[in-house]
Amino acid sequence: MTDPKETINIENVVASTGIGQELDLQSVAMDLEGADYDPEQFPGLVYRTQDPKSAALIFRSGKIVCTGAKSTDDVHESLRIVFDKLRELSIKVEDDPEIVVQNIVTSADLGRQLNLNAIAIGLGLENIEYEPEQFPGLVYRLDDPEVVALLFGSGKLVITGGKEPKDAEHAVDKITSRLEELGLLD
Amino acid sequence: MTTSEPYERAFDEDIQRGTTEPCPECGGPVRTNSAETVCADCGLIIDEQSIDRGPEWHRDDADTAKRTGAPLTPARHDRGLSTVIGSGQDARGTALSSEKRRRLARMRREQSRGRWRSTKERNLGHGLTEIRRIASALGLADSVRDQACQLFRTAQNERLLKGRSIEAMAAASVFGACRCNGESWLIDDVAPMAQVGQNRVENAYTVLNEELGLPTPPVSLDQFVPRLASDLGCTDVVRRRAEELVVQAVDAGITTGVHPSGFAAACLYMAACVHDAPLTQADAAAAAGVTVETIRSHRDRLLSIVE
Repeated sequence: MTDPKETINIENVVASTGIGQELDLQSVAMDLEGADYDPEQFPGLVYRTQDPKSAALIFRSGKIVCTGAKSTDDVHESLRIVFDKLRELSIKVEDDPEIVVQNIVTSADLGRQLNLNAIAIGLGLENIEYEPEQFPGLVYRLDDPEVVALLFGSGKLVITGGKEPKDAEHAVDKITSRLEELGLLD
Repeated sequence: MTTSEPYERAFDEDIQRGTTEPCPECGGPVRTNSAETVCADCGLIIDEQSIDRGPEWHRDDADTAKRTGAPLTPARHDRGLSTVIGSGQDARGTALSSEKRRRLARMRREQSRGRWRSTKERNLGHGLTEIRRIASALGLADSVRDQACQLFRTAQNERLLKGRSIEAMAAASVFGACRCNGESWLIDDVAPMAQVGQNRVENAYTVLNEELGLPTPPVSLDQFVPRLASDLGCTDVVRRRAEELVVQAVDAGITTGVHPSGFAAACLYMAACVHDAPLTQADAAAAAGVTVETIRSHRDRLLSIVE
């Protein structure tokens, strides 16, 4: 039996930053090659980087959200590319704007089928949300680390809301030990 | 054992009151009459000389207590103590003078303005009316309805109504109360009764469940078979076979995360196939509110455990 922690895989990292000045998105969209800007669809300008793969959402206020990256390093790398592109358009960007990671989505696999009905009762009906009518997974909110885990019948789980990669590891540790205590992992 | 009812008139409402717990000795059904609680199978007397455990609503000063009026109810914003100013005639049925009628009309107008002490109370009144309407449309028991009303009050006190509609929160409270009592209602059944769209009801329920931590037990699948069977006009043989299939499937652990009525419909469909009953996948799917693909995929899973 492999350790569930070895199956942890970061799926998405979302980070935010800002360049500290307002932007005229219409003209940025015209000058920046490969930018999508359709204010009727979405108020921000979408700029996709290919290596590393991610999408930067640039807003009129000068705030930028980077999403779709697979690691925190990738976030920094792709935002550096975005900043360089903006500098090429002679928009003033300070040397190293602060980048804050807002959310990390990770997946993991417990390696065996789960009986969600039993888990719902075991973890306490007040602490979980399990509505198979609306969503086949069981939602478990942890207090420490402050993340939300989605448990599926296949034994796979998704952990969202973490700010650091090690939040997911702590969460997986906690969930496995909790389920083992309850005798629901065999 | 008494055969006649000593307090036939006074304790009339107590006769039907029964406990749902089975007999502690043999697990048989339990009957309660006005004198005692007894197991129908082994005859064990579980409780006798039962006392009226209804509320005593003037407990602190027993001497001056006035035992009048209906008990308080959470289902009304003023807990059932409403003021209604009549019109037209007095208590004896004689017509009032025009002067008096005008005075009563003015009083009614002032009362309708002064009824709500605050916006919060007016919102509560509106929400509770909405809950009573939905609960009666679904034919819920009064106890569940009162729980739904209490849930709505809690939600309002926790300021969960801000930014959400009263109608959505009312429908969500009804659904939440049903879920907490293990009643077999789906949000698909409750939401059409609401005056807002289904997704608003779903959102409101998610908020209730998340913020108040509702103790909702997992939905049990076997409750859905009889309902769907009667909707689809299945025979008893088919229904019983479907119920067996549900038990088998739950034991085999293939029911994790399935749509409850969708799975029950698949079991009915399988049972109908075995007994050559005319039930199409499309009909089963439509009655359960799922797609035909859901029925087919559940059928394949069921086939893998039956053989």
